Amino acid sequence: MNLKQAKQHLPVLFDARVSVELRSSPGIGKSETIEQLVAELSARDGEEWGFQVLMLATQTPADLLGYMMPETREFNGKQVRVSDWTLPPWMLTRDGRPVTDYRRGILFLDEYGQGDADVKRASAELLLNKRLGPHTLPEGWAVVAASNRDKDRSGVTKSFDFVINRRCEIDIQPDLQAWTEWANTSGVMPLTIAFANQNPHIVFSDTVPEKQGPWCTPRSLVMADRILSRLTTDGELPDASASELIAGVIGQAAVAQYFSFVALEREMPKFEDIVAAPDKVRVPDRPDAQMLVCYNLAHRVEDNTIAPVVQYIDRFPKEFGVTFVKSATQRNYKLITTPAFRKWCSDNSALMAAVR
Amino acid sequence: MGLKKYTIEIAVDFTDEGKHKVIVDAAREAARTLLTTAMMLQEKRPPKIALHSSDFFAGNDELTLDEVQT
Repeated sequence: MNLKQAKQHLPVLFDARVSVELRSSPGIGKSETIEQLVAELSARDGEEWGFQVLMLATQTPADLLGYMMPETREFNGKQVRVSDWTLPPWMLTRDGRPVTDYRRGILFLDEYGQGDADVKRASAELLLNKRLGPHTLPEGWAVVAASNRDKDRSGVTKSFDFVINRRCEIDIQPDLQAWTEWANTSGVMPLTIAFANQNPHIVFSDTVPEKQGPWCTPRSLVMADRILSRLTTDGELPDASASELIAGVIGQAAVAQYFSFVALEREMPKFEDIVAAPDKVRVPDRPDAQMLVCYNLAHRVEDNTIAPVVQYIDRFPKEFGVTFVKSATQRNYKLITTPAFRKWCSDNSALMAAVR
Repeated sequence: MGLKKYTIEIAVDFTDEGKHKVIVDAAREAARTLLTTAMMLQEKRPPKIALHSSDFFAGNDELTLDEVQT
């Protein structure tokens, strides 16, 4: 299943008190998805869910259990020296509060697969019983682990059958549509979304490259997007050193394609010109440019500009109209109630009924 | 919120068969527009739509969303 489907099903597993391990190639957004899920479940329940991330690859068994400290207790009127456990980091939430402050929450074991065998063995009790040694998560908490697969060259260590039998394993497939929906609402630049949609073979490859080095995944592409958005100024193409920087996250092969989109964007008609004269502004000839315009417009259109923008998009091939309307309504679904979108739905209903 | 079903029904009483055809064409158009709107808002499963007509004698009849070429 894809990440979006997994996110929809996870609350059921949480309620059933079943721990989960999400497995996929690196960089498809497992960690971000869990973080989003915490926010969504908090909003759904009207109470804050606790959240803690534990990078298992950096833990030792002692880190998981806490440390023994000498304490004194009274037994039968006598003071006796005893060993007491300190609270391990996973018993505190990310904001430093004890997990017991939250009725519900998620303990996220990131890089679970890269954990040492001893650490994995120790965490088995956490996955099964939500407890480890003397420490217990509250009843409503869930444990989610995230791993890469053996073939991803990510240092994944051996899995144990007794652990496998204690959690639900979900294989996550990279998925362009789910990623696009996420990107449309997460501040990713339209040019990056258009690039991913035009080049899914580059961004959503299910294997790591044969030769080691930076390569393009949804995660590294979002990193590139964040760098690029800070390097570009209005109308100016970033210099060659910018492409070297970005090659450092997505690799040389992908950066050439990515920068061809950056160059393309600079030649796009301006939003203000489209709104002012939707029947006169040039429509790009190339499909990649048309797609880029669609995502750009979907990213910027609002109630007061939607009529001229739809008029302009109507001059594109029909499939780009669908891309535009879908992308705009993913960002703001209320746009579908505007007269311009209602008319678009009516005008294109025969086509949509035929392709359903 | 999960799967939800919406139903629109209209009852008409015409003797002229041509008027029934007008209503069927209008229902088809409305159904296609409704389906398109739902497709644009789709989250999980794709929306499904069905159009039926029925009368006392002929019973239930499922109509296609496409215009029937005559």
